[in-house]
Amino acid sequence: MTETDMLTLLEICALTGKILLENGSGTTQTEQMMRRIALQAKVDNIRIFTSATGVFVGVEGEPLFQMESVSHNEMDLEKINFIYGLVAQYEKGAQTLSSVKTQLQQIDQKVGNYKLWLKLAAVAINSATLMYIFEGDLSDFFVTCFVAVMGYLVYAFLNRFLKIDFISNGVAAFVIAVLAMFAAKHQLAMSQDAVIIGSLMPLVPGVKMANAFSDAINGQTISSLTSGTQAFLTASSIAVGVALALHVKV
Amino acid sequence: MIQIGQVMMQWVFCFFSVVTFGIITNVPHKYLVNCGLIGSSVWVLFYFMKNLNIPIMISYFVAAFLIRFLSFVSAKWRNGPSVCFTVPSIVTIVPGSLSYRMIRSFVQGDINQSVNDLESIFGIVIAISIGFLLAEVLFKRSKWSLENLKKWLAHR
Repeated sequence: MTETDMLTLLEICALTGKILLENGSGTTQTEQMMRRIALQAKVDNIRIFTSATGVFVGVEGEPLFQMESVSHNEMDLEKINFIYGLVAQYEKGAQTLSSVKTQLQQIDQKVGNYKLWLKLAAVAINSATLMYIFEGDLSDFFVTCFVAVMGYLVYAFLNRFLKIDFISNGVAAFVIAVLAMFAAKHQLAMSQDAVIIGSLMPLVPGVKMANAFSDAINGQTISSLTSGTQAFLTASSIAVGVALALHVKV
Repeated sequence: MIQIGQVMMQWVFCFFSVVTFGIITNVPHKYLVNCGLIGSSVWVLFYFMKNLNIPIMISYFVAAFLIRFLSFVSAKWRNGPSVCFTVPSIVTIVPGSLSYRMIRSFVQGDINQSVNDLESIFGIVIAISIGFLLAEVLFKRSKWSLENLKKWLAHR
């Protein structure tokens, strides 16, 4: 294997790790995926270090090294699915290293495939059904839809301009709680708590929490601490938003 | 006593909430119905266990284990990543309502209640992750996992 091929392989591994980690895959699965690509290219002395904020790849006995930093934005499971398919094709020999690299770069730039109106409808139905499941009353269905859509719009709008998850979650939670309290005060909603719980559910970082604990049990201490801190910060910003709104009235 | 109509309502509502959460997290559309079936069936089982007064931690553990296990099975069947099935299905058993109640009692000055809720949230999250880990061990890691057993049978 020539040196340029080796460098391409390392770039592919680093980019794969970056996309998988950004979109909510666990650390262990990510490392497995990168190892599979390297093994298929007949490089068995690859060295990988992954954490929740960065990916480092090198080859033993060669002066080559690649790294990618991992930033966090919206979760997109379509990308993970695409990479699984791509790696399976590469293992069968249907793809070359350079074609894999161009496809990875394309998928990295792509934005999610569901339109905004479909997402808003999904948010509305999701929070209303969850409101019913968490012991709410069926007559609050449409109020919850409205409150959740307003909250998600605020979240999406702020996230596009500020790009700080912490602030947009907090403001969205504040808006949701204020609207729910307003509805309960004017007899539009039966139970204020159920409406708030249902509307908050699309914002809660449940996946990150689960990832953090499973990483801790797997022995990936650094990435478990990092993603645990992120989950904790997001959850506490939601908590601060709701607490402020409740305090204004109480 | 549990009424059959109520259970059907829970099942249908849970199906829609899982599918729509899949749309929010951009799950490919060919997996959405599969996710909904996993999430809603496990939720109905969880609902039964909650009503039969089985300890709450055990029911969370069983639900998390079943979700992860069924996700692995469907990932094998549909040739996709298992995380696509796990993430939407988990949405109903994440302790969201408990966390809200914790915040509310904290704001209203009822510190005892909020510490109680915090403890049970911590226990639930640990139960869920242990359930996940056990499913992973049974399906993937160990020498006696299902994948290896299948290879062994094919070899015979």
